[in-house]
Formats: sequence, C-alpha cells, structure tokens
Amino acid sequence: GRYAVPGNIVFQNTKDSQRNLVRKRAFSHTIIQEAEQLHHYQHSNKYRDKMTGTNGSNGNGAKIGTSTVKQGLAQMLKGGVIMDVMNVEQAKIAEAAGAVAVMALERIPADIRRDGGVARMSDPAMILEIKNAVTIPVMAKARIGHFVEAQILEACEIDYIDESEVLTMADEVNHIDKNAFNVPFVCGCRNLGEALRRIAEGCAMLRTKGEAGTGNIVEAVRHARTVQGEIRRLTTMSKDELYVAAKELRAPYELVKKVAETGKLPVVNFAAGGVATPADAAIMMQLGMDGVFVGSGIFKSENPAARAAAIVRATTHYKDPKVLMEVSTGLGPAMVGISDIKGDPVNFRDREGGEYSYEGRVPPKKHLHGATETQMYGSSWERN
Amino acid sequence: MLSFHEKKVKIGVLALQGAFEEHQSCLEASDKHCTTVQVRTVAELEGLDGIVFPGGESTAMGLIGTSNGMWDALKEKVIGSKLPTWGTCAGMILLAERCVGASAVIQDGQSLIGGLNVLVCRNYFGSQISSFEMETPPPPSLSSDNEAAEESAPFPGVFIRAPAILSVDQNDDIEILGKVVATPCRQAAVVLRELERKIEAGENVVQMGVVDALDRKSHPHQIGYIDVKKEPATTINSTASENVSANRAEEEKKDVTILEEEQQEQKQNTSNIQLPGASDSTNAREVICAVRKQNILCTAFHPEITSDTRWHSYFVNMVREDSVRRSN
Repeated sequence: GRYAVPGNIVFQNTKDSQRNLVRKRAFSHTIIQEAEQLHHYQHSNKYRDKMTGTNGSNGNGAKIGTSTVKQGLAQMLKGGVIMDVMNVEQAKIAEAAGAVAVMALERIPADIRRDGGVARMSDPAMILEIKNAVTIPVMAKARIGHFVEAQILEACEIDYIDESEVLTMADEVNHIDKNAFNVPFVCGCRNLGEALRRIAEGCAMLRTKGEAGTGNIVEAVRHARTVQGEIRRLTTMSKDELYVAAKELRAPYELVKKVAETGKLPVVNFAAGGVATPADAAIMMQLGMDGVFVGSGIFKSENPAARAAAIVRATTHYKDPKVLMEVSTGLGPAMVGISDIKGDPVNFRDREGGEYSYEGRVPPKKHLHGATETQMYGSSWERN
Repeated sequence: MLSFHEKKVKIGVLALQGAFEEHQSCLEASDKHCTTVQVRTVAELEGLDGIVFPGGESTAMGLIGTSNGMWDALKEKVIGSKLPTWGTCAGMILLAERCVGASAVIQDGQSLIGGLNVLVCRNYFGSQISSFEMETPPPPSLSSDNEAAEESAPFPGVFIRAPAILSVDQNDDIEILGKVVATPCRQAAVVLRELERKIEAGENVVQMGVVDALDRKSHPHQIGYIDVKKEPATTINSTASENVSANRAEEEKKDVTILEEEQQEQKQNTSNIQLPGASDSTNAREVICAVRKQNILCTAFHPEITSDTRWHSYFVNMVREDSVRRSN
C-alpha cells in the first residue's frame, strides 16, 4: 500500500518542516530510484531467497543478506573489541568502555569450563533486552550444527551469530549451512584449511579459536601464527602447486587460489580465546588480526570497566608501546585463568567434527594428551 | 608545471577504529597522485590536505578519541580550518551537530565532532538483518560537459546498520545528494516518537539517547516491540501545539498537499523499501543519505566496500580543489 510522508512531523524549533523538504527536492540529482520492493523477509525456510554476490546494481530495490552486506558489518568492526556479556548491566558497561559490539551469552566460557553441563543458545528474552539497551551490534552464540538455534537467533534480529565451539556441539559432522541465512555468521579456526572450510559454508567473519575461558593467550597466538604462516606459504607456491595445497588443506580449490593470489583471507579475522590484558590484545593485532574478542577476560577480572576501556585503547594504539604501557598501568588483577591447557579436561579448540580421515574407524595409535583424549580414544591405547 | 590533476594530495583516514584500510585502498586506487596515512594521534593530523572519517562504531571512536586530545584537534581541523572532510556512516554521525538514537550509557552522551547542522538518527533502518544494498545517485559529475554514461550510472550503495539524516537546517547551505523513502525500524520509530514529544514540549533536542522500545506487558511470557502507529497526515491539527497559529496550520496543510502531490507523481518511480524489522509503514518518511556543505561531505552508505571509486574520486577532487585554492 502507498502512504504519504506524515505531515505531522514538524521540527518547529529548528525551522525544519515538510515545507523545507519540498523545497530541498528541487536539485539536480535524481532521488534514489526503486522500481519495486524486492525482498520480503519471511521467517520460513521455503521463502528465504538467497541473495548472493552482485553489488546492488541491477536496479531493483533493496537487497538484504548479500555477501557484501554480511561481510560489510565485520569490516566496520575492525580495529575494535567485541565483549562477552551476560546481562543488560554488563552490556552497558561494555558499550560505555568502547566496545564495538557485545556477545550475549548466558555463561561465559570460564564458567562453562568450570561448571560443565550442556551449553546451549541463550534465552531470546535476554538477547532482546540487551539489543534494547545498547546502540552497538549484538551477537549471540549457536551450537555447531544447530541450524534451528540459528533460525531462532535470526528471528531475534541478532546482528551476528557465532557458531561456537564453546557451546556443546549439536552436530559432530556438519556445521550449519550458513549460506542459507540472511544473518551473517562468525566462526572459529585454528588453521587455514579450517578457515576456508567455514568460508565455503558461508561464514562472513572469522576468529581464532584460542582456548576460551582460560585467560591464556598461547592457543590464540598459535592459531593466528598458523593461519598467517599458511597464507604466506601459499603465496610462495607456483600456480600448479595449488591443487595439492587445496587437497592437503582440505579446503575448496577456488578459495585456496584466491588466498594465494591476494595474500590474505577473503573475510575479516579477529583474535579470540584467552585475551585477558591490553598486551594480549596488542600482540594479536601485531600478529595481523583485524580486531579482538574478549570473553571471560573482562568480567572475570577485578575491575571490568577499567580493563575493558584499556583493552579498547590498546587495540587502537597496538603499535605504540607508550600507550600500551599507560593503559596496562594500575588495572588491578586480571583473571587467574588456566596455565596448563593440555592438562585441562575441557578442550574447546579441537571441536570441529567431520573427521573424514578416520571415516568412522578407530583412529590410529597416538600419544594421548589428557583426560579428554583418553576418554575419547579409549584406555587400550597408550596413555599419557 | 604540474597540471591540476597531477597535484599531489595527502589524505588522512581516522584510524581509531573501523574500516579505515578500505578507504585508504580506494583513495589510492582512484587517484595515483593521492597518498593516504592512518591517523590516530594529534601529531598525525599535521600536513594533511583532507581527512576521512570511516565507517565503524561512532561510540567507540568518540571514547577513544576523547582520551588523547584527538577530539579537540579534529574539531579545529574540520570546523576551524575547514579541512575537506568526508564522513561515511559512523563518520557521518560524528559530523552531525544533532543526533537521536544515540548511546544512552555514555556519561555526558556520545562525543561528536559536529560541523553539519543536521539531525541524524542512528540505526534508522534497523539491525544487521536490515542492512541492504541499493542503487543510489552517483556523486556529482566531475566533468564539466556532458556526463559520460559510466559517470552517471547509478552507484552501488551499501547500507550497514546505517544512520539517516532526518532534517537539515534550511539556512545552512547544505546540498542534498541523495535521499530515500524508508520506514524506520521498530526501535527507531519509538525513538522518533519520543523526539516528537520533546519537540512538541518545546525542547531543543541536541542529543537524545535510545529509549526503552520493548513491550513486556502484552503477553506474560513474551517480549515484543512497542507498536508505533502514526496518525495520517490529514489530521495534522490534532498534534499541533498551541503556538501554531491558524495561518501556519493552513500553510502546513498546503505544503503537505504539495508533498502528497509530488509523492503521487513519483509513485511509478519510488516506493518504500521493505526491510525486516521495520515498524508500521505509517512511520515512513523521506530521509537523506548523502549531503555536502562546503568542505564537509557525508554519506550514510559505504563506497569503500565496493569496487566503484567514483565517490572517492569526487572527494579527492574536493581535496585537490581546496589545496590549490589554499596555495594561491
């Protein structure tokens, strides 16, 4: 149905009124043209048109859910800090400290590690309350492979879904088909092959997995260096070596070729998993990450508001040691965290699923690390 | 003797946060005599011929920038020295003097730079699910004679959680370069309703934070958004305050009629864009998404994440013209 621009919006005290809009119309450039409304947002899978690729120049109205639009928000988050929050109050503290987005969840990773139990998607009520309270983007986690949790989060109009290894896996073989959604997804990766597999599924933003909830940066550093090193190696290969490189990475050839040509990932890659201090944020930025997720590191520390603001400034001025020194001063204790990651029974980072190389058979003999692997591969194998 | 197009220019891109690298790539790709630098400190502002405020989060930029003296230095450059400045999305918010839908949790409100006397509404179209791509008018042509076909082709506008300019100061010599008719999202509709209440109460609104937009009472186990429905235009008198004289009401009615007639004319060409999360279509209005005032250019959309560099060429030209003018 058609409508008239409502005439009862009169900005009386600023002299801006409908009459001014009428006069302003007389200028030489055409008003933005739209032939028809193009995309009707429907909640049913059946009607969900997948828009891909082309950059808006086919002349027909507004297109949502294109890859440019999905990846575009990640680009706007670059150089920023995304903080885990569990309630409205924490979300407000995060925004006031300079977070570029918040990740809404019911339990932060450190608590999931400690308390166990199945970790699932948050209650939509909490998500809507947080969206209502802040003006920055709000993200939320869905279990790996749980496409219905993703549908629900999309219906909540969440800004980004994190298909997260921190929650209990819902599908130990397949990830979510992220191409089928209009909402963008962020996924974790430990290496280039995993990164490209997630991109093939449709993820619009990446992050390192690190080891969440430990306050220990070692795994995030490992994953960042692995990804960056593998990219550098690809760029040194000759073109005909890329086929085998794709096979060994277990990633699609076209994506491998694109990375080899451009020397970088096709999407934004943030640091995540174990960032606890301004120095941690800065090292990840200097290792080539585009921004930082901070989870347990903020609200498990002694002085969350101050630490959050310090990490934000460190992420901006990551190359300036004087500023880093200043923001690291007088913050109070950081989260205690876990130093012996390999000895810890909880292992988020290795959750990927689809271990095709074993194809349902028992994996070959290997040295087992810790309680998790012993339990997974059985006590008849060599035990650490 | 260098020709105009060969005169080198150095453009800074504010790098406190956001998509600044993308602007650097596009500026340098659009013009081989343009170099760019990232700007995070006051010292890095020296020697620039122009500056770009990139897309990102305006709240974060304000908090980071006010902690190291950048903010006052930027105000001096943009408003005092009238350095050519281009703000995209968050950058547009920073350059506005009045903002609604601002952050409600930052002490003393969001820090803005100002320079453009416009009223901007943050997150007008909604969350990321409502971000969209749409053809927009190209930038004003740089060539003096007939516009080449490529130059006048529509521009791929990418709107990411975009703001929108609700109104411009009539007396302020602001050139409007693009508009769209759109329904605000449900949260923005509630913000705009609150804005109207304040204006009717006689308040001069400079910055207004987001307000509670949730309806928690209708269903015990559900939360939804407040449903804002506006009265149709013909009942304008019912919302007029006592200060509005009968004559003025008459004039307003006439203007509304003019507006409605123009709207009728364009019905074949334009329609309200339909986005997820939109409020009731009675809230729809025309909003402005590209403006220029002298040295300041603003776009609500993001040319830097497309491969079309016409807006970047337009801005480099703005910078070069200003630089030539200053050196003469």
